Amino acid sequence: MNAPLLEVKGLHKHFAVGGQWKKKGVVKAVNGVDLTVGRGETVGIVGESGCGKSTVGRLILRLLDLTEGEIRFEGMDISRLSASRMRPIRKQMQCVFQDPYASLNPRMTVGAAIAEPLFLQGGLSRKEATLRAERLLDTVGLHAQASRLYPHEFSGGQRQRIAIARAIALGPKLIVADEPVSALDVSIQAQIVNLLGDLKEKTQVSYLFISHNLSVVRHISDRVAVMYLGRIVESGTRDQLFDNPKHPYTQALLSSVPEPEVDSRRERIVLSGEVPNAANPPSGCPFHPRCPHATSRCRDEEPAFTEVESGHYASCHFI
Amino acid sequence: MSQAILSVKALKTVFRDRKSERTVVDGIDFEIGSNEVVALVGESGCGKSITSLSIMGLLPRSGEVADGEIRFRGQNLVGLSKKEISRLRGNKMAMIFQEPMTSLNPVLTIGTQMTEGVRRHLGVSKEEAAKVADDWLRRVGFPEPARIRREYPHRLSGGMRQRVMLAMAMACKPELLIADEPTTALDVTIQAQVLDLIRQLIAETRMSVLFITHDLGVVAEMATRVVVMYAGQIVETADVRTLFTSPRHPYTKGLLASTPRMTGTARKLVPIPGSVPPAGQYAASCRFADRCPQARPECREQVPELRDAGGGHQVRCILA
Ligand SMILES: Nc1ncnc2c1ncn2[C@@H]1O[C@H](COP(=O)(O)OP(=O)(O)OP(=O)(O)O)[C@@H](O)[C@H]1O
Ligand SMILES: Nc1ncnc2c1ncn2[C@@H]1O[C@H](COP(=O)(O)OP(=O)(O)OP(=O)(O)O)[C@@H](O)[C@H]1O
Ligand code: SF4
Ligand SMILES: [Mg+2]
Ligand SMILES: [Mg+2]
Repeated sequence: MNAPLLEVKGLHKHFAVGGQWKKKGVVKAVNGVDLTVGRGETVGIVGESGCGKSTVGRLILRLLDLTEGEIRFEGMDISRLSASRMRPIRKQMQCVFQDPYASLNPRMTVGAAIAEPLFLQGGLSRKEATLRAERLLDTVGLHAQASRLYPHEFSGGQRQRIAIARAIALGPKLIVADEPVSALDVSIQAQIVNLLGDLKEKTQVSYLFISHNLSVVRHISDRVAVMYLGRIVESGTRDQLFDNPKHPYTQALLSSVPEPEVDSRRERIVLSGEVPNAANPPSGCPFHPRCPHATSRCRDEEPAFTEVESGHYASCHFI
Repeated sequence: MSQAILSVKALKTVFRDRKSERTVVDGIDFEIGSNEVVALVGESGCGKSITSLSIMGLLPRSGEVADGEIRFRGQNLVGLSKKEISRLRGNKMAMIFQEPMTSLNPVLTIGTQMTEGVRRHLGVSKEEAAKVADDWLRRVGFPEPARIRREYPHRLSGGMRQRVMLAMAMACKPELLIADEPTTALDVTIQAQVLDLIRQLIAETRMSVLFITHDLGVVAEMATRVVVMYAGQIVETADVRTLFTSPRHPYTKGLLASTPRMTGTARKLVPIPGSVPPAGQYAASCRFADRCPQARPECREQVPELRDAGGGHQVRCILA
């Protein structure tokens, strides 16, 4: 079992856009992504709205069919498995989304919602499943009595705990968490970030943690990938990426986050221009229209994704 | 502090329906001086937006200012007629929101909306208004204003729309700008552009600003003074430096400890346990007591006063 838990190679997803009135075209929402998640590892994916983060997550979960590429889970290529052959693998791969309310049935008690997969897929009896659900609620910091209440009786943070309890019920190896704390207030966000950290320590689960919130990603991730217009433009360990960013986009992105401190000495790189449209991406380096260092070479030639130090990669002509 | 542009005293705003009455803003006091940027922070539902809508006379039908004063340059706005308030609004006071689409008309071009607003408030000719509009569009970073004037709102990106809103607000030369989470929906690199722009406008026009946000990073960057709200009340207020370097209310301290950082060691976060009590259902105690790590029995026996801690620093905690 030397294969990494998850290995993604050359992943592409193209959406057809336009139609009757407009010219048909494609959006290359994911345009050649390579990604690895090791056992017990948390990999963060950051980037601005529309860069393709959620699409990567949904492709990995096989909620969406890929256009091109390979997704290996524990060494097995799952990228084209049928729904029935995916079923046993789904137990190992769970997800948590931004809006837990949308993923919880409003007419089902929380206990029943958590017990359901245990009963249907986990092979437990109803009674065992119910007891197990109560223990899971306790694990995520809720009272066992919460199992008899309905989702609307909980706050946003509590609902996210419930969604997490359900995600961990079958003992998955990987959890794809797409903006799991983005809708929460900071004081509650910190509770959930810590809960995810504790669960990882206890169960060795891996996370693919998708978020536009850079400081949260810094706190939770072992490794981080930065996406821009459907590609990964830089990846490395948490400290490589946050302390020594190489790509001009990463540098600007990190410097844009306001720090809650007076006299913060960080220098701000303010980019000019707007985020380009994914349906009509720039030539050469996709970042060149906004890049403070761009030359004519950047407009003409796509930079390669190169290793700048052990385990740290970036795609820019000038690094 | 020079004479206050805005002074809010004992403001109480309630929502009523057939069954109940809820006080969601409960005795708020603060002032904004000339060229001051006061940040209003706190968690979702604590009453930030309702405070600002009370000031602007824009409360929804079911809401009402039940008590208190809102003085703009000395004039009490509470009890003014709709007509009188709307004359002040857009002229002396302007507001921008998190989602510009809610205040832009989707079927009119940017140009039409801007010139109409300018004519209404400044009483100038159509040509004059178009010139003012162009001038402001240029100042918020559209080098070719004529092109933007012809666009419809939905054709612009979020960051462009927010800059258009800013140009519209600024075109009427407000003395007070109320900005309710103006950058919350934007990507961080675009947020940086818009914050930069707002800062520049504050310096140039010397307007005063009430800046509403839940992001302490944005507070540190923009504010001269900070008002921290919790469950409809002010729990702490201080100049920005004091608030970040020596916060005294356990809630403010908790917020700072739970906020992840971009620098320093990525230590474990310290969350505030529990969650915010439901709005308008408060016991006669410190509203933070159930979540406060320092709470004592006394905290539950009365509602602590907002007390002066010296140097314009006020704290609502019996221990502070
Ligand atoms: N079903 C779809 N049909 C057409 N285009 C799509 C579809 N889903 C996503 N896209 C496009 O693909 C691109 C990537 O979208 P995606 O949702 O993955 O971005 P994201 O990084 O998760 O953004 P956000 O931070 O806003 O959640 C966007 O340009 C989006 O408009
Ligand atoms: N139209 C309304 N009718 C009834 N109650 C309302 C209405 N609008 C707001 N409230 C209540 O008033 C309280 C304060 O809301 P407000 O919008 O001021 O919060 P906020 O601090 O701006 O929060 P956020 O950070 O989420 O914007 C909330 O508890 C909310 O439920
Ligand atoms: S390749 Fe050129 S445009 Fe792209 S990031 Fe590097 S310098 Fe900037
Ligand atoms: Mg997304
Ligand atoms: Mg609000």
